[in-house]
Amino acid sequence: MGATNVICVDDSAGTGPAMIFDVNSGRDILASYVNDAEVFALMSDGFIRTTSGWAYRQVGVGIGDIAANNDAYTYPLLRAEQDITIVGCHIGCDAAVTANVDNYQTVYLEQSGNTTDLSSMTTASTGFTIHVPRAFTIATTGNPDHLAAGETLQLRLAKTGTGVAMYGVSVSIVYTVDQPRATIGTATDNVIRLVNEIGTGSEIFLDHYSRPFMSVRENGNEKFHIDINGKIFGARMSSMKDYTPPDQYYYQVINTGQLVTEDSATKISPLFAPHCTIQLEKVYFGAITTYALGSATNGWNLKITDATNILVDAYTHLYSSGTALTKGVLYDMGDVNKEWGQLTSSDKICAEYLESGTGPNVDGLTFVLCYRKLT
Amino acid sequence: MADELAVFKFINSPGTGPIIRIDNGTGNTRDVLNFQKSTSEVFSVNSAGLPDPGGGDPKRSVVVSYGDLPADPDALEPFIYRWEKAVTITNAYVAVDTTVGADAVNYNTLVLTNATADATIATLSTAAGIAANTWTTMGDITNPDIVAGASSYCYLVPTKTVSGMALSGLTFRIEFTLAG
Repeated sequence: MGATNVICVDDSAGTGPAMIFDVNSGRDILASYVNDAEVFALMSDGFIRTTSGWAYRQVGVGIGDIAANNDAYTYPLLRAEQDITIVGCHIGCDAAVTANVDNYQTVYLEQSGNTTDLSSMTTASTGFTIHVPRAFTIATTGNPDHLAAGETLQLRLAKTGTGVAMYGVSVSIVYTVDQPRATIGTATDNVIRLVNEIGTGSEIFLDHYSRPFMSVRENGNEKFHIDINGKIFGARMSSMKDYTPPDQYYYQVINTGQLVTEDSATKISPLFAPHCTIQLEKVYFGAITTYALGSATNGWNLKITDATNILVDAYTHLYSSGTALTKGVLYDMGDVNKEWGQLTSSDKICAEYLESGTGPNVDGLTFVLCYRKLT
Repeated sequence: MADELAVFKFINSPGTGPIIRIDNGTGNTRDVLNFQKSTSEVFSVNSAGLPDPGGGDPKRSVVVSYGDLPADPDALEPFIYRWEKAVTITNAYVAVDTTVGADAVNYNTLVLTNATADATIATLSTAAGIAANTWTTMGDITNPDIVAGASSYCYLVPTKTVSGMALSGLTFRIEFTLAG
């Protein structure tokens, strides 16, 4: 085994990482090229730069039914902790929409941080075939595709004539996490360079029983770590400063629909269940209509729970402690309880609602979950 | 406390390019990295630059909240999700916000469908009912490969039996791994 590898390390002595890289220049740790085109690079801040599917992140947002006149609403689609770039977006319906040049919808894909639309499409000359998504062509001039941390990706509709209803609408979004720092260089002044080495085994092969495989550091502070189980982390070694690269955060978006008085202390909306242990880092919420702070006593307590414990909660409408909501904008619910926010594959995340006084109906209540994978 | 006796230790080595650079031609499909734990692979990066880490990192999820499904959904076929790159679906789950009891006569059959060849990915009958806020598996996965291109999406084909069964706050969770 390992005979055809270029570098093969088998059961080396030691308990620390088999490979330690510590740089203060920001140079890349490892890069792989095919026909002189880079396909993979590990940066010294732990960010993975790749042209493979690894770079593409996915969220889906259920919109529901859209009335022929839906001009009053703006739908929040996504907010991130990091700068991201929208690279693809599709929208589909659960029933056909017939094209009509007089009465149609224009669907705008836009964001809160840039007045230039990412894209738009109409049903004037092209309708929707049942279940078949249509693609938004994402504009890049003026950087509308770049969603800065804290901004909200949005969907808005505008009717022409009497408009047209669209049913069971769903949006799929694909984005990449922006590289935090510029690439230092691609020079060939490498410490190790392997060029078209003969063989079929992996270029670099390590086989160990218990020691971590890799630790990447900047000025002594760990930024990236691969443990003995092949799991990747940010800072992992003891005594290292806490750090997670931006591409190790993941998101889910859930539109829980309309919130009404009857839902108080009754309705529980399923949001997510992880396949591994995660740390819930942030929760954002928003709605499709604007809600001012209207009362000192009438509002909603929105609670994100694991069905038992409150992970984070927020208030709407209340003068004293609530958040005013601008339609289509996602707001930070505040700090997540660190202990309860660690959830295993047996846990689930849901939304619960408690009315204070008489809370107004909330339309298109939407939550965004931001988390890291711990196992 | 782990020691710092690494096999390879690079401390501020001079240069600006990557510390390790690997150049291959198109025909060279060997992995860039392959890390094994006691002879079992736990981490790799293939020749196309796709990492395959251990733990929960290789698997991803996408949640799609459809909303209310009527008792008679026969005319509907909801679009669920479209990927940009090739993936392999490993699991599919549904959840609702209101419990529906078992009904062996009036129920719906939910077929998650791969747009490539319109093939069934997973099927769930609601005859046994669905408890609120509980992720119910849609069962065994077939035709899991989503191929990048115009048909790289999945959709739902719901069909009623007799009067069907309405579902409130229907939400899908699809787990997948990267294939390209």
